[in-house]
Amino acid sequence: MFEKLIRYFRGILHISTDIESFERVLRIAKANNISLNTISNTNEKITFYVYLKDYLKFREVLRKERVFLRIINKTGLPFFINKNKSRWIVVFGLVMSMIIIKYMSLYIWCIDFSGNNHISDESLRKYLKEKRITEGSKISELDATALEEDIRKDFPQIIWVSVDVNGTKLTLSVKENHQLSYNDKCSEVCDLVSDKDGIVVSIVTRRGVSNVKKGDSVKKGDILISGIIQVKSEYDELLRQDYTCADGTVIIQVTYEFKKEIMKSYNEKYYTGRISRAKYLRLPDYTIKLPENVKYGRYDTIIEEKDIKLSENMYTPVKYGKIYYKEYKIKNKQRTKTQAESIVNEAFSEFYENFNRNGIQIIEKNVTIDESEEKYIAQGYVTVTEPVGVRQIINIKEESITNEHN
Amino acid sequence: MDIVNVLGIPKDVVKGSALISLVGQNKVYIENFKNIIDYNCERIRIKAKNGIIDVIGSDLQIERYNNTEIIIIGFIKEVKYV
Repeated sequence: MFEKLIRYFRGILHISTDIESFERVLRIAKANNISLNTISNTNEKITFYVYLKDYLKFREVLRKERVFLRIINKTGLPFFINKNKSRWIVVFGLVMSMIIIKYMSLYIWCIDFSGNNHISDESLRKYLKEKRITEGSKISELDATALEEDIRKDFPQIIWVSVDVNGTKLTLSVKENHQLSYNDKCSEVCDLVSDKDGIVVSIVTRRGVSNVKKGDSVKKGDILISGIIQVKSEYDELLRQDYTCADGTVIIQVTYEFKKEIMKSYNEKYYTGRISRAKYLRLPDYTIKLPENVKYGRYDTIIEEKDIKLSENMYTPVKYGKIYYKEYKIKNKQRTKTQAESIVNEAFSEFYENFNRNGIQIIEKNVTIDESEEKYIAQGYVTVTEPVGVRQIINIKEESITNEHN
Repeated sequence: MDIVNVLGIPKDVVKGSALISLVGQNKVYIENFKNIIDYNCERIRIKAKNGIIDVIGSDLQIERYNNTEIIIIGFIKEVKYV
């Protein structure tokens, strides 16, 4: 293998000579310190291999000695370069493309997010944009450690974050905290207030004084656990007030209303099966689109876009895509009650599926459909128990003044 | 008494004697030669300072030939001085 590489880079010639002159060839080669390889004698012809550098030296001497050699074949890089030197434009293109690839590899051309369920890709992308990290940002200007710290600081629900640049692809991996927990490092004096209307199902107070009890009805803004602890004497006189950051778990029963109206008469969209296609190339600020001729009255546009990449993580700023224009027509139809029920059931299950989050428990759900002349009206409710409470900072000075007046 | 024998210096270094190394039956290295007198598939005759070396065999090929050594490959039957 190694010998083959040397042969390729040095350039080797396959030479043939007749048997009479071969001894002279050997003598001259030895006298001039020229190395001959793989000498073989076939059909009264002697063939051998000689390196290009040796051949050039050899040729001059042999010419003087009037010995003639016949070149059978020439292989190797020097011959390749010589053969292709007239094709300089190809070489120029090759070099230029290498320079462009090298230049493009200095920038980020793809941003990928993983591990985020509650925080959307869009909000993370917007956040990165605020930090001036977008497709086209310089990789050398990216401070991954600082960015990780900023994300952790600005998104408290993110408990772990990793910024990784691989090729021209930036991958932001996060791990979110799905547990409903309050920040126990709270140093402010605050109350825990309700952010919803409902009936208290259970209350566990960890810090502060509970203001409500099981079965109480609370409204949005009501104090559930107070951060002011009044210490009273046995004669019910106020001795002093302690302040804390109220903490606890309050679960209330909340009822959410559901309402949906479905018109009896509706327009149904159906595809005719006629599709028109167009192709395009997209650069960050410019799109090259092939001419299109869509003659349909109504159509849906479907775009399929793909990144052009040199390897798995070597993205380029160029993207290519296909646009499909699918023609459709509209037909007016009347909806039956069964169809309406199916739509309502689907919408209602989607509605209550939203409550299937951590800490929320569905107690009861119901939906009924009424029919009028023009439409079906679905009304229902979902009763759930869920943890509530947001911290509200207490202004201690104001609180003291109020107490003094009292 | 020959001084080369007394000092134990290799004869190929001092006298330029041919150095022949056989590798199995398929390869022979010859150093300190003068030139090739005759070459065909069955016989290669090499002139050395102390005589003519005759390599007899079949499908003989010179793998390398340069100022210092010859490497012959093929099926070697005999290597002798004539």
